[in-house]
Amino acid sequence: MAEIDALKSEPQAPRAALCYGDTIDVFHIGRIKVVQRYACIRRDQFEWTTDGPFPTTFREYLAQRGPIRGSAVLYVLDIPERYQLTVAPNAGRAVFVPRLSTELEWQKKVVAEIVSALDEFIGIM
Amino acid sequence: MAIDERIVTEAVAGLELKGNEEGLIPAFGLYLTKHFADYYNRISYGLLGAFIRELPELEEDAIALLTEAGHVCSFHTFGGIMLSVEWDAVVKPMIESREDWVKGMIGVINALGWGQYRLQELVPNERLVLQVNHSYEAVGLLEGYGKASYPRCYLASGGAAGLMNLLYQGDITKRPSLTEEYYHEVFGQAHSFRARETRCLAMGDSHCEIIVERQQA
Repeated sequence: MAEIDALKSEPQAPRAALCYGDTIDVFHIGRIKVVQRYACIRRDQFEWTTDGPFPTTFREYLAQRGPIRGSAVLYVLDIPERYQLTVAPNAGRAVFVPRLSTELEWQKKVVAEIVSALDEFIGIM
Repeated sequence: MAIDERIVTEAVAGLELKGNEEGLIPAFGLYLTKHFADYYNRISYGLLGAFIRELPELEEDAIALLTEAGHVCSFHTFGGIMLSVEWDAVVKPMIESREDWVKGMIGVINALGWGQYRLQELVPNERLVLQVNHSYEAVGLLEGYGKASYPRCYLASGGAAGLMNLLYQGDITKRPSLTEEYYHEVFGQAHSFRARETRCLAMGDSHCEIIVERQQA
């Protein structure tokens, strides 16, 4: 009965009140701005942007993480059961879409890894 | 460089938009799925048919609902596409004017298998005329129900109105958040754009034609 009573009130958990696309957080890793958006109760989407194009070394780095398809202006790293990363290198923009089978904490950790690497490559440019 | 629709269509067709192991296609900032066009047709025309049989006085309301589905679809789908990383990579470098956003979107649509869209006329902030060849709605209606007395491409019409609303009633170029409030701001005004289909393959015309103009208050 306690569970049924709880349903009479508005959702208390912060994520339960969010809608698709709502911004959860905006933060910087080095020079890179990252926007974390709500996708569903079990996954977020992350978008990061830079002022200029991504260095080509970033694509080489991603290729070590998994298979890449696409072209020089738009490519996709897709790792089954883990995530998809779509990159527009000339626009300095990428979108990270995790799979449902991953944990929220893991999703943010992987984003931090990849964005930190990108920031290092930009520093070397 | 102005928009080359063919380049856009080829680029989107080359994206390998196929489902992952979750059955979803994460693309254009959206989660897309593939399903049979006839599935949507069966649902929409089944709904309309039920209204005509059971509540004929509400036929216009059923049509309004199906068209509204097109408005909502275009708001999220076209809006999502125009805000996406894919758009930034493939289409945006070719854009020189607001009208190029319409042309770019038509290039994307032509890669999605909804029919072959052709821009007939675009008067900025006033009027859009689209020719649609092989509209999946009209083809599906003909196959499933036979020749129609009225134009029946409701999703395409709603989508075309949505395109004009996103560009000239709202301003998708400023990258707004596609919230419910913004939807009402863009579609819910007295002078928001609405579409009418003036020719339809399902009626025996050679193609479908959709005209989008502002509502008269």
